[in-house]
Amino acid sequence: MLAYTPLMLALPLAGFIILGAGGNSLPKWLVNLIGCGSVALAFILALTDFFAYGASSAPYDIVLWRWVTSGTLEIHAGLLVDKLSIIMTMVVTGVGFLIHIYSIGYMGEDPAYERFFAFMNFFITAMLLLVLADNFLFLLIGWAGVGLASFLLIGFWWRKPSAVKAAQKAFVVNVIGDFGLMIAIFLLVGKTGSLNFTDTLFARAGLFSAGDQTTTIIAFMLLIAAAAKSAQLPLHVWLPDAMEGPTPVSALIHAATMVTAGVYLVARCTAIFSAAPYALETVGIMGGASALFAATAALFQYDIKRVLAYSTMSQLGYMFMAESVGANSAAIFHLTTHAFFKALLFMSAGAVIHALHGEQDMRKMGGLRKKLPVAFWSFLIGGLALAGIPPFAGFWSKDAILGAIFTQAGATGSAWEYVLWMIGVITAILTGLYIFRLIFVVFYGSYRGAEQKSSGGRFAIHEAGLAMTDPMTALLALSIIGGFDGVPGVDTIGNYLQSAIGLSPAAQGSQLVILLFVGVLAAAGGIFIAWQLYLARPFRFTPNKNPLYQLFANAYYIDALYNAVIVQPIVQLGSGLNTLLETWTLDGGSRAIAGGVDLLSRALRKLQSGYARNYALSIVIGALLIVAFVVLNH
Amino acid sequence: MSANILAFSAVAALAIASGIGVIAFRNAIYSALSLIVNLLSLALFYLILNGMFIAAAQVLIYAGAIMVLFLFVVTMLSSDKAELQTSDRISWQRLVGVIAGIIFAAAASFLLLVHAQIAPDAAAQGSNNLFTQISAPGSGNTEAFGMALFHGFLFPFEVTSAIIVAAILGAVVLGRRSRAKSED
Amino acid sequence: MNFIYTVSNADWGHLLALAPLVVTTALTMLIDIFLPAKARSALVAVALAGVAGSGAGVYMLYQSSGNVLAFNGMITTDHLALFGSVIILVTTFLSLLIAPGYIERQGVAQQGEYYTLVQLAALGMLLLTSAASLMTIFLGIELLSLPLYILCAFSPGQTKAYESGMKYFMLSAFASGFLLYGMALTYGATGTTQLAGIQNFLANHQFTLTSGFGPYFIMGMALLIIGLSFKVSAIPFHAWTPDVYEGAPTPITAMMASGTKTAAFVVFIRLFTETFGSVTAEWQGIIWALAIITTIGGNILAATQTNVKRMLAYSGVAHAGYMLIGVAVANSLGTAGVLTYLAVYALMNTGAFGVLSALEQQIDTNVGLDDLRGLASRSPLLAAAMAIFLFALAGIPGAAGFIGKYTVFYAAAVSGHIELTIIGVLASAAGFFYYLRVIWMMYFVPPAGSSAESESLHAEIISAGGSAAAAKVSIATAAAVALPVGATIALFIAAVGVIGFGIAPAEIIQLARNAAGLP
Repeated sequence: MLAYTPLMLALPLAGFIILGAGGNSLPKWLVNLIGCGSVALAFILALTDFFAYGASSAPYDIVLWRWVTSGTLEIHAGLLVDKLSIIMTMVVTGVGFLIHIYSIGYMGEDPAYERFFAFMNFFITAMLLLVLADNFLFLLIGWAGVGLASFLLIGFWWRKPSAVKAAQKAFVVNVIGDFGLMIAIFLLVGKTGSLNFTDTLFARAGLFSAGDQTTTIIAFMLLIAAAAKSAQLPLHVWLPDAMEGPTPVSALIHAATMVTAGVYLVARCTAIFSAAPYALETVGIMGGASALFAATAALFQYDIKRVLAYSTMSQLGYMFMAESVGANSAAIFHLTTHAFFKALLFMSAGAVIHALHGEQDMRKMGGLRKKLPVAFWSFLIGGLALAGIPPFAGFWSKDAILGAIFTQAGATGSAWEYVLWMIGVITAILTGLYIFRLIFVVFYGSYRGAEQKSSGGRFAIHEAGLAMTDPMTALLALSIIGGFDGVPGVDTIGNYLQSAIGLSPAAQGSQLVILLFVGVLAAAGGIFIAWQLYLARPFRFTPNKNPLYQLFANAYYIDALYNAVIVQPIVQLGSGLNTLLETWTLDGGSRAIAGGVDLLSRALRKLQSGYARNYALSIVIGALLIVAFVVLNH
Repeated sequence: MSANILAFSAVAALAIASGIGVIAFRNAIYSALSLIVNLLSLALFYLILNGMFIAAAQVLIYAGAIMVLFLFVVTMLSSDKAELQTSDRISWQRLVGVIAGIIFAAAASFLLLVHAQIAPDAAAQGSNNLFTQISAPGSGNTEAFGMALFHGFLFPFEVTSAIIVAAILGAVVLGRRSRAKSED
Repeated sequence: MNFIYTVSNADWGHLLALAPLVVTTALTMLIDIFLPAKARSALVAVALAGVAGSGAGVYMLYQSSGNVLAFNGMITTDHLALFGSVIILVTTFLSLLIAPGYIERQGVAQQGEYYTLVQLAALGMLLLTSAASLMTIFLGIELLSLPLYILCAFSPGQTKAYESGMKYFMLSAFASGFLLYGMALTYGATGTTQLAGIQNFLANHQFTLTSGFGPYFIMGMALLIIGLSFKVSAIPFHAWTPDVYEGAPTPITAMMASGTKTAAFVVFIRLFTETFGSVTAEWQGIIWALAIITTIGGNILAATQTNVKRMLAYSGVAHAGYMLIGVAVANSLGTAGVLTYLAVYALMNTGAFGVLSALEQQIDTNVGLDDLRGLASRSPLLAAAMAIFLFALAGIPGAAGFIGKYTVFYAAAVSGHIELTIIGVLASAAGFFYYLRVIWMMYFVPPAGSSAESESLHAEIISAGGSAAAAKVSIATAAAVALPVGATIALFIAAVGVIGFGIAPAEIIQLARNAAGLP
């Protein structure tokens, strides 16, 4: 059955090609069938892979065709099925399928409906390629492909200037990440002579020796790639803006799947990172800083989706923290549960936005609990899971991470790892606070927005259709039960992944109980504060001039900083260069010389207006430099 | 030997002076005349190197035939004198160009005139070459040239015919077009 | 009198690749006389047959074995030459396919001359790839340049065309001076014009900068670099490129951009990587610096363009920079990388210019970014083709251009020049944006002349003193672009080639490695 894995990629790819080439002439039901059906079949294939692979521990390599083979270096278009990629494909196709269904309802009235599904299928293809590739070069295609898909989907509503800007921003940061990955690839091939996972990552021990300088640089380059894709400090700036895209896109790409690519990459490259202690420590610093930073920034956002965006960034920070202490399986565990409940939260946010006809400002919501019960319950369950209240999914995975960090800190006695654990606990408090602030402000109190009237004049806030609520219900169930495969002591998922990415450190005995208790207490504390602040008294928005508040609400002004330090200088330089090169030194003036003159006079004038002479001059100067080099070498 | 060097120096000075004259004269006819002197001095170089045939060809074809055509064209077009006036706007470029040229020449001379000498076996290799056979004194110069041209140098010789075809076509294309234009 | 060399029958056999084109060149001129003016576009068939015949000749030479040198060491038919020849032939073929519709639109009456000159230029390029002597290199450069000067100025009545031809002529002659001087000094230093002889001489002599033949040689080498850098348009010898490309008929630009580049790079490889291989240290630094300046500068310059043809011209400069990285690596691996890159580049670049030429059939001026607005809704297939070529040029991982870049950067990385790899990757990552901007224009911005807008545009142009015909042309931009048959075939071939290259490049990489002398 594993041999059918290529179909998993081929089906969404076929969907993309069909919908992209001839989608606008197809009836809507067929678009739905192709768009969702291809992903559904891919999910079934992922499931069969899971069962067919079983408890086996040897990676299953599928060579599709000879790709960039040169001499002894054979790089194939090849897929690698192992436990890590199986988990990833199940998450990608499973959550992806539900979000495709959801999109039928959410995007139903969009004129470019079929294009949306084409792009979504393209994204699924690229993401599957990313997690299934058996070498770095093939992975890079998926890596760049998801970036491209993200760009296209963020900018999907291209008539909105803000969406275009956000898409460009995301693309720029993504390209920085691609750059990191490419450099890592070339360094790796220079060091090891190969790019296949089997020759590098799974190869003989000692290929990457600890403290080796090149290995460290490779690890840092991979880290740049991971940080850009997973929106970690300092490359996070694109994620909040990416919320300009349609909500299903936010749910699929910017919560459940693409942003986890960085986590996947670090887990996949354990062999490299474990030989590069500095890089691994940096992973922890980056993760911890991002987790705390994003949680504080999420506290004072008023755009419902931006809260969730910062929350995503914060949760991804948890995963990187776990990876920095070698708890890869805990990170992947959190990745899966996070995919469930964050997709659910985005979907319910989408349901709210849909019901309010595009309103995203929390200040104009309130009291929606009665009118949108499905959205409310989804939000509540998703929020509880995110905050880490037992028995919901997020509780188990978050505590697996905190437990792993604490245990590892105890094992190594490293003060820094205790700090990391503290950051994790503080972030857990903040998580409960910001998500329940959101829930209380949106669903409790009284409605603060303008009256929504339909053509009949009736109050028009109503629940979304089945296409949207059904996938929400499915994810709701997963957010409740999705964490049971990682219950401490049993830890099914951790044991499953052991052969692929190693076993996570885990708390035992009484320590475990205390840690679980601390986790629950932190989450409950956060929710209690939220209850005090936003439910105990009616919510009223008051502008706050407190500098700390402003700092948080503006996400530490990092955007403004980048704009002032990087973007503006480049823009200035660009326009300056343009003026300099086009108008002055080259031949801007020659454009003004008009007229029909014959060849000779034209040529003479050209000769004399000096522009061709300028070119000759640049040749002479170049020649001079080269000869000077030769003589000075002398 | 010293006579050779003396002759070379004189001709070289002539060549450089006339070369500068070509670009420095504002009157196109003077420029063309300088060019004739320049081409003649090249012929003298060939003579110094015992290249009888090529010297003769240089005089006949370049200094003779081609330059006559040049002069025709220049005199026909010289009514349009305004076009030939050099404007002063570009003086800085000329300055930079002259300075760069001088530095370039100085650097090249430094490199080539200090230390450098022809390796003996390079010279030997050269004299085994067909070139030297052509210029071997006493042998039938023109005959040797012809034999070389149709043996070892047959291929380049044939290729030049393709280049000439291209040049003729170019003349046809551009010439016919400007005629069509004047008929409008 | 005892002569060293006598031409034999075997020598003529080495002309298999050149001969068919020579024959059809003559035929084209001959048939042109007898054809009525209206039927002259049929001449393209003769030219295409010649290119195909040359292709068959290349294949036969590839199959044959034995001595590769011919005509007293003037030309060679080794795998490097054949690989370069195939690229040039493909480029010429595509350029010829695009040409008929384009030149008809431009009102070119002298079609016979056009096709003859194109074939002569192709011959020059082929000659250059197979040149094994400084003498043939120079003749090849002249044979390819002379027809191109004229072809650049071919569009009648356009000042830009004259400007293009004239600039190319003057600057090229200037650069040829450097080249010729360099050749003379190299000959003086080594006593031979044959590359094999030069290589032999260098292998048997200790090179010193301060004495003996050293100064002559190093000076000659520097001047050779200058002359060749002009042809590949490396910065700072690039300034002619955008002006010439812009004014030349677009099919010629397409041919020039990849054909000339291929020929010049093959010479670069033959002269430097092979012939001067034993004195690598003397030239590597210069090429290294040129590669870096060209890679970075080309991308910066391209990013500031709004005219698509100029943008592609500068992007060609940037691509020359990537290829120079392969030369700077100075080993067979680098050569294989450059050759792979050239093969990819020929397809994607010719394709992109092909799309431009199709667009220019509707707009009188050059294609600006704005003219591409909403192309996807007007001509979906044309836009898709352009998107494929631009993605490939950008080198987005998975596209064909990425394969080319990978092979070059890989060579640099494993040969200890990781700094070149890093600069190359950084520059190409920055380069994504200007290609993507064009795609964005085609797909996400509505056409300029949609209904109401075109009406007012019409009125505006007429009131501005333009003729109604001109107005019609401008509005035609908003309509679908009609593609002539030849251009359709050419774009189809190029697009399929580019996609195929991205998916399964292994065979071509292997051929390039063989051409570079690697297993």
